[in-house]
Amino acid sequence: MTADGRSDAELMAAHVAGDAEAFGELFRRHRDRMWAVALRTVGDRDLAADCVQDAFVTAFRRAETFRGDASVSTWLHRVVVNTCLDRLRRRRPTDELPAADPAAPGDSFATAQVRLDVEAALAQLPDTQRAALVLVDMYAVPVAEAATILQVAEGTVKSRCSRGRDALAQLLGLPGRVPGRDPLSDRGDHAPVGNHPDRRNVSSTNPQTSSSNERRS
Amino acid sequence: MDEADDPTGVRALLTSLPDPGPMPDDLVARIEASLAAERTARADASGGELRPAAAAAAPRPDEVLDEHRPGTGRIVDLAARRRRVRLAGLAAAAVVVVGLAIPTISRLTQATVTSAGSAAAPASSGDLKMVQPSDQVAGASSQALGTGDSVAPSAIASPEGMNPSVHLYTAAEGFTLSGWTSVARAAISGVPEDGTSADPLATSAGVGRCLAGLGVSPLQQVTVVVGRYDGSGAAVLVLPDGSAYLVPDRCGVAGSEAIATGRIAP
Repeated sequence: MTADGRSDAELMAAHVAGDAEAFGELFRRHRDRMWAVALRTVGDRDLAADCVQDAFVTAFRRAETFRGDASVSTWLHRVVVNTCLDRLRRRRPTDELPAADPAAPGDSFATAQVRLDVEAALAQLPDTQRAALVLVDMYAVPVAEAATILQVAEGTVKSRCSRGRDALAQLLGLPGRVPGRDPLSDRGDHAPVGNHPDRRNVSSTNPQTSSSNERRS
Repeated sequence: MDEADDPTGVRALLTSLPDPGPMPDDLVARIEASLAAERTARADASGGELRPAAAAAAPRPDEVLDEHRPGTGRIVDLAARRRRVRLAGLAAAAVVVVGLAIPTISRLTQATVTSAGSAAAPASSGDLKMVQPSDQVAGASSQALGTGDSVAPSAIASPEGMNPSVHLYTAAEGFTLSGWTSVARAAISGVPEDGTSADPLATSAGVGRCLAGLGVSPLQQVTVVVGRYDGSGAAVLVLPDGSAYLVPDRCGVAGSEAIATGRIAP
């Protein structure tokens, strides 16, 4: 329970109206979740820190665009994930994959090894697949809400999750992946735009993204 | 698809991963400092007094103090500084525009100007717009967005007609992923701001290259709203059918990729 008993929507309205306290309370309420989502989405602590900072500043400035169609939490997720995807998209081709954090509090050796393997595999997914998996699988965000956050159709979220799981299964050597499908392809869940590459080379240390191919608004 | 249907077992694996934990304290402090600076800028912009919460953000050792207010312990408000620089830039651009406009309009009113292939010509001498010095004058149709009689601030077309006729606007604020269409729409529907831009996408050729890279026919009329996106130059290209592309200003020069696409209804 927080000291401020106002709802998120009330705090947002108060912030727009000029209440200097309101957004700080929203930040306190949502910062841990947004940090986790950003970190899982970009896979790098420094980049995630930049993303989540930019996202909260953006949310502060653009609060008046929040119309209340979705929850404040969903809206903040959208801002954070979009910021992450944008940063990933603009990452220079020569950037190396982020170094994995070797240990996290509470990790046993086996847990740490699995975590590192999964994180390394996640880093090889197309950014949009990874974002969908982070929301739906890691944080149990309903598909409909994930679709709102990612600004795509529910079917696209499902497709990305399915392909992402398939890709992870392949990369981790797990059984059960759907045969005959290239899980690392984003094709089929949106209309291509321009000549932007929409496929990633899993053996490359040059992560690229296809997320700019999407209709976002 | 059933969300629970996961033959790969990956979902269970992902769910079982330990949470990264709370946001690190140093990042919390960093973001709180940024938000405090935003509140300060907001209060300054509104001419109001800071409320206690905004004023209470104490500086930390790693924070940069505002050299313009020594001793105050305030955070440098980079956003406000950028706004000031941007305003200064706009003012300088306005001076340049006025300098170019007077002789250009003078030439246009003294000479016979032939439309270079555009179907629509300026409706009247009162509709004469700023023309890029390096470009020939084309018909200044204002129908790129179905805006009827609204007037574009700039009309540019290549001599050969191979590149689109461009109607140029300047965004009043930066584009964001969640609000770029609104910003562009506001720029287009608002009062046009006369001006020129060094942005490559402010030229007919630049827009043509960008559109070609995006897979869009270059032989179109395009409305361009130049602005900033995440600290870098960017533009929104709006086609006559309402298709809109948020692109970096290097679009067409260093590859063509849209940051986001959407629609801005005519």
